Amino acid sequence: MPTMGAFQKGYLVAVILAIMTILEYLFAVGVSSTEVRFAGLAITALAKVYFIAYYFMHIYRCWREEAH
Amino acid sequence: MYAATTIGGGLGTGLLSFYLGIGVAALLRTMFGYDAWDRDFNATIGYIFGLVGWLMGVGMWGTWGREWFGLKIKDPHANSRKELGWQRYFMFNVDHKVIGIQYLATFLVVFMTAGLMAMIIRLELMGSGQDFISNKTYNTVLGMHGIMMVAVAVAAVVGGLGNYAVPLMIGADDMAFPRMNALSYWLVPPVAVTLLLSPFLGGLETGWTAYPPLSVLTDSAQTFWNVAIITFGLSSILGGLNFVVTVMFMRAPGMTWGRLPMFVWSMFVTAWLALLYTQGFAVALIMVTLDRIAGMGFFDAERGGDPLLYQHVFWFYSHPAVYIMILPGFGIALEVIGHFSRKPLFAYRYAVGAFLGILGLSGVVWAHHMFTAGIPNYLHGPFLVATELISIPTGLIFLSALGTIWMGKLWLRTPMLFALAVIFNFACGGVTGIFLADVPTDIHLQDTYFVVAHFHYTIVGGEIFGLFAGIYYWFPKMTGKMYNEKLAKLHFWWMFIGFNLTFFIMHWPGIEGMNRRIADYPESLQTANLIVSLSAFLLGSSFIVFIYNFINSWVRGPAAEANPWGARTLEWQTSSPPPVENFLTPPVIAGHPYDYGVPGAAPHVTFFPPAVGSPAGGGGGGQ
Amino acid sequence: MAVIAAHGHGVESHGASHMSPEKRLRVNRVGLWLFFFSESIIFGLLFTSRFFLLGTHQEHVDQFLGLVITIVLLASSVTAYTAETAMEKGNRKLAQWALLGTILLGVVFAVGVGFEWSVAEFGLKLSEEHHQEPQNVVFGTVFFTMTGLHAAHVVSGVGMLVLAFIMLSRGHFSKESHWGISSTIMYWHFVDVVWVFYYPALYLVAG
Repeated sequence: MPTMGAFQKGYLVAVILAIMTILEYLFAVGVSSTEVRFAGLAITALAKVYFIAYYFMHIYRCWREEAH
Repeated sequence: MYAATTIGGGLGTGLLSFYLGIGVAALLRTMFGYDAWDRDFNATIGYIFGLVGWLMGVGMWGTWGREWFGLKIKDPHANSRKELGWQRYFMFNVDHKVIGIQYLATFLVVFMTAGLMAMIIRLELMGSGQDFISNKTYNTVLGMHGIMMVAVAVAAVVGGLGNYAVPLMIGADDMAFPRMNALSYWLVPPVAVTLLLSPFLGGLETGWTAYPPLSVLTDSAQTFWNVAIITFGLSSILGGLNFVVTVMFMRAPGMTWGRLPMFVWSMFVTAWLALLYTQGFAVALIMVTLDRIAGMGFFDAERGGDPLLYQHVFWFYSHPAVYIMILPGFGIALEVIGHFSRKPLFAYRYAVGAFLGILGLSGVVWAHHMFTAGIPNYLHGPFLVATELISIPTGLIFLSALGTIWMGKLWLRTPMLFALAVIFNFACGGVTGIFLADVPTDIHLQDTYFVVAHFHYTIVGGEIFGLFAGIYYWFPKMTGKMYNEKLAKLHFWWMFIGFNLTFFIMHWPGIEGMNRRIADYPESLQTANLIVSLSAFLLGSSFIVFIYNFINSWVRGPAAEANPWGARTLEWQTSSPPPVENFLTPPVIAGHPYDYGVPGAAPHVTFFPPAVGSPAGGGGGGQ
Repeated sequence: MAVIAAHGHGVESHGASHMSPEKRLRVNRVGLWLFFFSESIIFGLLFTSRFFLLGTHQEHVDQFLGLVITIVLLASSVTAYTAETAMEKGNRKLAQWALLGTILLGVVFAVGVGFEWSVAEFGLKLSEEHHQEPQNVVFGTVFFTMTGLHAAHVVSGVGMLVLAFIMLSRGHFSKESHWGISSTIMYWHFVDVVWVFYYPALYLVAG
């Protein structure tokens, strides 16, 4: 998403996160196998953390110079 | 005057906030319908308030706190620039050299106090039966000896020598976060005060490990002890964070990772360990505290909790903690052996790899402390193997040390003697460790004096000998004075012989099954314990020589040269003691720190532009 | 203490006198990340303890309430992101409003957790009349501890946001130099990251 403005990029990520949260909830309520549920929740959580750490917390700025 | 305002201000605001916290806690309790007064609950809240008050009072408010509210702050460096003499050690001072000496002096006092407690323990154990002190007092003394010595082992080298030497050795003018550095030191006095008060608040019953259910049920100073240790953990974590960032970002130009002195490498790895694992102890103690003051049921089996959880979380920190203790010892030993053998350090890269290997393995071995605690049998094998794997990186460090000594031109000054003793003692401690890592022998030896002998061989023999090697090595740099070599050598031999007698013989009652932590033992073990006690008094008395030499040399010793050891590393290329900014001109690193006698080797350090009056870079020739 | 550590070295600007502002910023940033790393081990140990004590067992919790406070926290992350991006673009007005929104959403979250505690169907005491099973008490223990520690971070984060808001209103910070705001907002996102793990572990894992 390099061509997008900073605000739009963040809101797109937020929408993705919101959809993931809802899906996570529906998935957890709907699936009956504990193992599948656990694995699904773990994967969703890791994916959400990636989005937050990269797009919201800008972890890459630890090793890449900032634009300004 | 400055010292009085700092300490007085800290104590004043600290006490006021403490009482405020107690009041707030009482108010909250009344609001939610409980009795207004519960000693442990109110004191915990009071402690948190008091801690913040103390920190703000000793100087954090003026140099730091005001900033959070957008107010102007005092320049935190103002204190280090003023000519204050001894008073600068009693202030919120951000200079890493001052903080290093603050740490070192504090923890030497703690070390001597805890040593006296060891003497009391050995006095009681000199004969079987109850001789001098009651069982309750014995438990308190034992617990205090344990936790204070653990604190010394964790913080004396890292906080003291590390703070002093690391920025100098990498060519920085200070740590990356100078004010946070001062904060981690000023967190220590409340810990020390609370710990020292605990015998008067009900004593300790659990030893330093604070295992539940006893630590939850006991009516003693347990809660005070918990909050003090959690604070100490915070200090340790912030210190570790500071070291990691400092070594990553504050190195002088040309100081590549491959040119870092061994001591800096050991501190870097130790700092990572402190940063990653100290939380384990804190979380374990938070759980105990919550069980005690908030009625939680983590460790209450009746309500579905599990005391084994504590041991897992606790040892998740406390095993890596032994590497926090021993790696600085190894670092100093390699550093000193490198300089005093007058030849390049053998297998530098392998030794660095060994440090990193220990960092990697230390987190996956904790359950070897729990072989008899009731963990599932299938965990025995993996933890046995992982534990013994650690002997590979440890072996590499030994390889590096022995390879450096081999054919070296050994210069047997006191630091070198202590460094060689680290290698000798740790070999003994390492060998006995194998019996404890093996499940079949461990089931017999668990909780006996064999374990006590083992960990004293590794921690005292490894780290405390390393600490003294470091103190003698950097003494001229820190104080600008030279210590008395004759007395120092007397101290070394006295301590070395006393130490080895005490703890070598201690294996014997251990194999016979004498329980640790118990104030009494069967009469058949009388002889062994008598010998151990007498040797322990010999060991204890050796520190009188040290204290005399330390104080006397600091006050009226002869002035030290800038580089009395002819060492190549950076800290010796500036005056003794160094100026506030460490180096008058920025140093540039061109060569390896240990290239002694290598034809055509570049000097480790050059200055740009060359400093007037400072000794020439390199100093490879030696004495 | 989190307040001091995160916010504190967020605004560390002294020492190491010849350090360039860019380098100072990077050192602060890496330091703050290491602090998060270190904090996440505290949260991680409690998270692991929950599974050690209970496996995937879970008592009845109010799913609707859980989902609502999760969305509230996510929304506060969005306003926090807006505030930081606005600062980077030099739009102080928007940054102020976004900070204020973050503070309000943070307070709503904290109140939500408090409400959750008051309606919880599990307690810390075994009692005959409520037919409390031991597992019920342990779930209460881990639930109150985990949400309590997290809420403590939320409250301290709100405190830091309030300080940042006051300073911004008084004319501190600029487009070029606003590490005080950035660090506070990073801390806020970190609190959100913790909830990303705690929410499924406490509400969803047993379906």
